[in-house]
Amino acid sequence: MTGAAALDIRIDRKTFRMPANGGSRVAIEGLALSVPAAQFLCIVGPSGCGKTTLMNLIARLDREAEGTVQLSDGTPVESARIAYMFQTPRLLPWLSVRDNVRIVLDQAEGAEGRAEALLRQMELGDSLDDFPNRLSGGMQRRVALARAFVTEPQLLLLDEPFVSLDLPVGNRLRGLLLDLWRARPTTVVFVTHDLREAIYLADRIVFLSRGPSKVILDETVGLTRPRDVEDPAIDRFRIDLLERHSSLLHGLAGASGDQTPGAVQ
Amino acid sequence: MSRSESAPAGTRAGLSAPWLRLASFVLLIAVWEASAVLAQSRVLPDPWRVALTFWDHLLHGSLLWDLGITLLRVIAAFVLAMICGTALGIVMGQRKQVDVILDGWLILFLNIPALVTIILCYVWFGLTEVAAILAVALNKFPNVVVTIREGTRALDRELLEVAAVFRVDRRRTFTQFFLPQLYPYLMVSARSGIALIWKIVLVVELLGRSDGIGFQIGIFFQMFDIAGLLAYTLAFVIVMLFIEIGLVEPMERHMTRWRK
Ligand SMILES: Nc1ncnc2c1ncn2[C@@H]1O[C@H](COP(=O)(O)OP(=O)(O)O)[C@@H](O)[C@H]1O
Ligand SMILES: [Mg+2]
Repeated sequence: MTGAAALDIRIDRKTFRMPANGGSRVAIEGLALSVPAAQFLCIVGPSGCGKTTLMNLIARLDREAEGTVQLSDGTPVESARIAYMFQTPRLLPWLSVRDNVRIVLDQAEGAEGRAEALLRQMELGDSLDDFPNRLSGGMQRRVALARAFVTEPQLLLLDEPFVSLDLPVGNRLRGLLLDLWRARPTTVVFVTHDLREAIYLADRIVFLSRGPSKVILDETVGLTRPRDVEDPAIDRFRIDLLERHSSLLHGLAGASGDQTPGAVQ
Repeated sequence: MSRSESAPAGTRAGLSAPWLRLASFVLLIAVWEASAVLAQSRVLPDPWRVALTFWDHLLHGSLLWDLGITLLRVIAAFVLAMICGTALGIVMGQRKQVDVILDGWLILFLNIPALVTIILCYVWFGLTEVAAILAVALNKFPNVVVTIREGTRALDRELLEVAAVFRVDRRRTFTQFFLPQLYPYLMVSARSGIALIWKIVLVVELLGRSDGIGFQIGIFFQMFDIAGLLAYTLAFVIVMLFIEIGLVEPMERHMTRWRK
């Protein structure tokens, strides 16, 4: 297939066995979600609710769940080019910055130049031959972002990629991500627990309940692009949203009571 | 601490260590010399005699040839043990069932004395080159398996997930994502492997070959030529030290250069 991927996700039930006590824990239950092509989707949910679990299912790193994850045309997710920026950078410590990005490219593709151009665009031009453990946390995440983009993915998964960065560094990377996404539209699923970050980035935000997680609110972000991080509209959107659904960020259904807060344990 | 105090301390630690080593080496030679003079015996030649004997064997004898042959056997056995041991170690580290099945055999092999392996190899495969190399390799093989199995169990799955999600092909997944994680274990194996193999290879040569350092040492033993024995030993030790310093250590530095 070509172009950005459209996704259909339906996880009826995802359980983890707990070897410690022989029991099992339900991480996701009754979660359904469709993502149109080239949409920038943010998934927001409290810590431990199952966001990473969901991403691993989408990426097909984890295949053990009741339900299906496929492209909207019915083909398996594997037929799309996927890139995944994990919660930690996961760079190969024994490869230089340049090789860390090149390693995910098909050698036949002749895309070596793109790796370097992308790294330079991320202001890593002086560190191409450095090993990752010489870099700051922010630089490592930029390398991981370059690696995610260099394959020109049709589906890009990002799992809290900018967490634990200080605000200016984080904001620069968010801007960079949007620039790249605008230059080459791709379907993005971006996990975060930072509502402001989600509003700044997303076309649409999906809120998950506490575990076992399911969708409790599906909100479109209509703000015009390009957006400014400092734009008061972002804060207005956030305050308005929280007023309508007071305990949203705790993974409970909002005050409007459209869903039962049954996920509370 | 004041400057005047720290400076001499630093010099002592920094400069005199090599000199101390040299002094200790000279002391060893002196003790040897003194013992030889006191003993006045044919079975304890003094260092100078050994040096002369060494020189003589080097120029007029078969020392170089024996050294070369023995080195080739060391290398062949080492490569064989490392490749087979690594392959089995990876499989056992990754597949629980294989591990359960073969674990008992491994323990058995680990505990068979080197001498027994050597004799059995010669008995079963004849006094041949293949039997000799196989005997040496078999002595090292189980250690490699155990070490590499340990390394495989400690693999970082997260990095392998990166390869999976970006669909890195199998060859590069193995060489770039998988093997480098095993480097520390491979290095441990290689180091202890060389140390073990070059000792065992002499016994193998003594028992069933008609050339090589081990064979010659056997001859010297029969002729009570202790100077020759020591000269050969010295030559071999020096070569092995050279391999360690000139080959193994630089390789290790290269493999771990990213750690700095
Ligand atoms: N491999 C695993 N085995 C057992 N439980 C797991 C595993 N991975 C995640 N979990 C559990 O599933 C729940 C969701 O985890 P996760 O998806 O990592 O949450 P999030 O990314 O939203 O913080 C947590 O309760 C976590 O303890
Ligand atoms: Mg997570």
